[in-house]
Amino acid sequence: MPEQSVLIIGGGIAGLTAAEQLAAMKIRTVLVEKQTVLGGYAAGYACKATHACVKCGACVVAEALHKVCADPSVEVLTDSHVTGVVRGERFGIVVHRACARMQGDLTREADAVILSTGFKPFDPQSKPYGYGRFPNVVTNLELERILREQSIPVRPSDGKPPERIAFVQCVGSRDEHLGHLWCSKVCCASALRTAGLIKLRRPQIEITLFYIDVQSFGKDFQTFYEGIRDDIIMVRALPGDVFPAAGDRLRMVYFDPKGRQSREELFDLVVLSVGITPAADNRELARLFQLTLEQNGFLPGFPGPGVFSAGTARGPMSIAESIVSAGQAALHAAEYLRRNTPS
Amino acid sequence: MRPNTSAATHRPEVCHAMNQTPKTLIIGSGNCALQIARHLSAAGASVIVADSRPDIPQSTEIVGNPTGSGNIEIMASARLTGCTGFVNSFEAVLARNGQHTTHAVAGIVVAEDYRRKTNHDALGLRASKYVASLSDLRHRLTAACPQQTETSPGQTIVFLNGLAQENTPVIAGEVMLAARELQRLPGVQAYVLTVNLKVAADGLERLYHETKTAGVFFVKFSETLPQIEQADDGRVTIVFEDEASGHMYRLRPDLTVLDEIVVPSQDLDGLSRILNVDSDSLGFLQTENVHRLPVFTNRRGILAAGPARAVMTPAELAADAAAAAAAVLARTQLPAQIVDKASIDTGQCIRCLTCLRLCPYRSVRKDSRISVVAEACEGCGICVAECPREAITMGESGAFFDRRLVEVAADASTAAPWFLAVCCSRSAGRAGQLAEHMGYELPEGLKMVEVPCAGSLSVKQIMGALASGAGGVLVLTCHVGNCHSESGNLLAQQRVELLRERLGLMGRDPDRLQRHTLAANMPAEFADIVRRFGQRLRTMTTN
Repeated sequence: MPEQSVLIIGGGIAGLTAAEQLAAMKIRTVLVEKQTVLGGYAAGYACKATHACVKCGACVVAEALHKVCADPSVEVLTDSHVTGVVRGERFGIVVHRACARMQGDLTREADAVILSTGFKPFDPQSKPYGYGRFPNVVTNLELERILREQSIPVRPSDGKPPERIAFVQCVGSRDEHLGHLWCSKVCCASALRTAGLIKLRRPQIEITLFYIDVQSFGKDFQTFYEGIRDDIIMVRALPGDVFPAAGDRLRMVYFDPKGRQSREELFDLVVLSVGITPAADNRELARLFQLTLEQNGFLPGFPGPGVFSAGTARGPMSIAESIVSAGQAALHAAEYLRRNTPS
Repeated sequence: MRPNTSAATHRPEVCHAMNQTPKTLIIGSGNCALQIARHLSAAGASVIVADSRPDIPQSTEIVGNPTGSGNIEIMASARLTGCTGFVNSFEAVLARNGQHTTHAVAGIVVAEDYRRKTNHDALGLRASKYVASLSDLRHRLTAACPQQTETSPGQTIVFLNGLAQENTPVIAGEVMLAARELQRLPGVQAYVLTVNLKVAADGLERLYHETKTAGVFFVKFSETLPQIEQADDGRVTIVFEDEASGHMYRLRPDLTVLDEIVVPSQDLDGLSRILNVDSDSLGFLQTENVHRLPVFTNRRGILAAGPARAVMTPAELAADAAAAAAAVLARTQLPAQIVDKASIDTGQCIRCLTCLRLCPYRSVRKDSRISVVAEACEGCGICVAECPREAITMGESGAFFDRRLVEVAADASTAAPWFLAVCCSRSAGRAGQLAEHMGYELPEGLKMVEVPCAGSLSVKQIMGALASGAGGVLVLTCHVGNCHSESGNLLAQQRVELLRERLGLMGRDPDRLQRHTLAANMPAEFADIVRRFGQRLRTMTTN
């Protein structure tokens, strides 16, 4: 009788936590990641701490990664994706690996599978915000990278710090026309924490936030919100079109509910808070594991016997929530293994 | 293990045979607590479910099919009044009907249900037949006949949402569900007057859409809130300006429903003291420290799940229950790690209790002798640095700093000027490694040493580094609120400040010793800090 094991697809914070939890329960795992490195999107986020930690959770990804890499009970397969599943007594899973060391197919047997394949950031090119056409319109993920590398925001066009930044919320979320009837949960937190960080490091930068409703985050949101809302300009409206202006600046038109008039303003950098949308792989996973996707295109919370899901593959989640969902998936997988242990 | 009817006086240590199933005490009897009990029982673990409420379901109701599952013991009307011991060997005292029983348990999970606070006072509205809280309304709606909601055609029902303070998706979801349900009754027009509508939970944006489609009017406020007045007969008048159109509106609702605040159970305050666990500013039994995710507290073996740690939706509570069960099972199957734990040389100890007072994980046992309980110790080394008798040592990582310092000093003695960056291994150590790996330019003469926590770096060690030829010492800690050992970074800061003063008195530039805070994902900032420190040291040499 071979030792029971769980195959985890996706090595972001959810997959890493699931592997860590299963290892702690003495269950062997195989972690399959299509990228060359583990950690997923969250591993690339910048720390948002100001005078104190603001609880974004990005730093815990580095720690989880460290633990999993040091654990001999986790087999890590990077540059790999699952191409075939045969279901017998156990799962027979074909993994295609394409890295410098090897190019070809591997087979792994597992008793349960956890799908932690993450999300796809909404592609804002279809929106009238000039993304892809104007260099100084960036997504929040691109701003994360800039902050991570340079500590302060800079304009992609000239590498200089902007004087005025606009954050546009709900790009691809809460959007009836797109059929995206969900809130991405994390963008208000991310934008406001990022704004706080920028104001600390470069107080002269003026920040405007365009929003629908500010979502609560953290346990004492009221205190955080009261602190930050005085430092930035809050406009409860989403802008219309974005036009290019001299000096690679951006001209934005919006209806200002204060005074009820349309306004035009110039910004040096426009940050689009793009939504969490279902990963392109979800359909392929549904085919391989014979699942029915949720109405929104995300994976179901309880996909089927022996198959479990965790993290943003299930829908928008913060890092903290992804960690909880990974614990949940690990427990359900362990329960499934126990029920299927021949005695 | 048998309950003991005596109160928790000192008793010989309860022995745990390896083949015995470790028992878990679950405090609380709400959905989350019962789900944890169910998961643990399914895994063959034994649990005690205790709550001060008298009406806990029977264990057979908790576990549908008890075959092959662990034993569930129900303790209704029971209150935790004392707890001694450490992870894997707690002794919990439960009081029930004046009787005290002591229970040996390996771990404790707190999952006490929330309380609700109404917003009557905050909104200046008294309860009347025209004014109901959300809970009152839900009560009426779930009561046998819907007629009890006293609606008749032509009725106006107004929900006030988030007007008193920013609320949560839990409440916003309940408001929308209730508004949609009432809107379906013939002739009823429901309004939701809201500040920020909290839809950051699964399914709520769709519910918002459906509620609007059902005919409920949503009016949003950002600048000026509506004026609400209540007449002597209890009737409410609401006057507001619609921000989109600028039109003024006046409503005289037949029913005004006030939202509520979800707050932690009042019992958590007492439990925090009895269990010696840190709580947050709101009274939950878990600080906001990200290292406590998902369900951990500052004490090993004591978990805070679901309603004991944050405000959550029912789906989030179910996930938390499973994550808590996973954490219990993982913990109980882990062998006690014995490397890198602090231990006290009893020959040196003078029972000053500094260690007991400072240990963030409460791992110090006070008996006839003072000792560190290895299984409860997280190896931060704060006690090692603070013990006035230098009576505490700590395995490999404790001696590591001194050894590495000797190495670095010997290695550097013939070379160019050097300085030391002492890095917390959880934060700055990772950031430094990343900075090296990613090719950031690091100054010449930089020597990095990792310590388990910046709080383990003693005054003597810092002075030793300066004495052994380091041009300067940079102490790199976690950010405030991000220290795994809660206070290690603050203690490091205090020591640095004290020594900077002393350096000044000694005629040396205080800037030779600096402290900065970092996180694991800050390689650029790490490089910047060490570069600037190197430059500062060079200006001292040239001057």
